[in-house]
Amino acid sequence: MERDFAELTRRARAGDRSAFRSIVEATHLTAFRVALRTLGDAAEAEDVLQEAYLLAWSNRDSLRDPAATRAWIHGITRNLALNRARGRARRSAHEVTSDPDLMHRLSDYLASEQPNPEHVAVGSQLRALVLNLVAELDEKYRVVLLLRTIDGMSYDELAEALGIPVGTVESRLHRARAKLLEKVERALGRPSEVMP
Amino acid sequence: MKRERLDSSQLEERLHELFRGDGPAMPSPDLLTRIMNGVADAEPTRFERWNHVALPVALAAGIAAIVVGLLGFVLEPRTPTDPVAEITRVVTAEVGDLFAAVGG
Repeated sequence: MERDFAELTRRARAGDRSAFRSIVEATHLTAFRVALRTLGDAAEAEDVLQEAYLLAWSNRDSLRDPAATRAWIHGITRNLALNRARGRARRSAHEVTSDPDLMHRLSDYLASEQPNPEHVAVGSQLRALVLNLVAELDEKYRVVLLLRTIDGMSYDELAEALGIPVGTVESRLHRARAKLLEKVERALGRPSEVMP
Repeated sequence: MKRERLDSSQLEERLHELFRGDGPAMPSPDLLTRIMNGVADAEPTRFERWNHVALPVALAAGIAAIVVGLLGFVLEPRTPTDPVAEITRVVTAEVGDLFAAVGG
C-alpha cells in the first residue's frame, strides 16, 4: 500500500494527473476533517482543501520524500486552515447555553457508568452543550478532541494528520478532556474532580 | 449508577457514546471533482504551452536573421571596377550611337 503510494507520488511529481487524483482520493477525508475541526465550518473547510491541493500540485516538485506525501498534504491543509482561522474571530456553531439544569444533566451523564433513558432523551442538547464547551478550548486541544470523539480517528491517524508524535496526541487528549470537565464543574460552581 | 470521581478513559467513553450517532464528518460528494477541476485549470493551456516554445524560437530566429543580414552586408565581396574598361565601354557605346545617327 505504502509502496503504491510512493509510486503514485513519483508519477504525480512527473505531472501525472490521474496519479495525483489517487493521492487526493486517499487523503482528502482526513484533510477535510482536520480543516473542519480547525475552522468549524464545512464550506470553509472545503475551500481550504481546494486551495491546499492546488498548492500541492503546483509545488509537487518540492516533494522529495514519497513516504512523507500524506504528512506533507496534511501539513499544507493544516497551515491554510490555521491561517484562515486566525484571520477571523472564532465563532461557535452552537448557541451558548447557560441552562444550569442541562449542565447538571451533562455532569451526571459524564459521571454515569451507563447512560439512562433520560440522558438519551436530551442527547442532542447534551451534544450541543459539549460542542459549545469544546469550542472554547484552545485550538490544539479542541481539534484533537473533536477528531478523536466525533470522527473516531485513531492515535496513529491523529499523529499523522496533526504532524505530532503519538505521545503528544495522548497528552493533548488527556489535557483536553480535563479542561472540558473543568469547564463543566466550573459552570456548576464545583471544584474539578477529574482523575489522571 | 454514578462514580464518585471521573477518570479520563471514562470521559472518553461517554463522549464517544454521545456522538456515536453523528459519525465522522464527510465532505460534499462533488469535492473531489472540484479539487481536480482546480488542478486542471492550473495547467497551462495548449496555446500557453505552445507560446512557451514558439516565442523564444521566433525571437531567436529573428535575431539570427538580422545577424546574418548584417554579416552579409559587411562581408559582401565587391569587385573593384576597371576604369579603362569602363571608359572603353562608355566610349564604344557613344560612338556606336553617333554612327547610327549619322548613318540613319
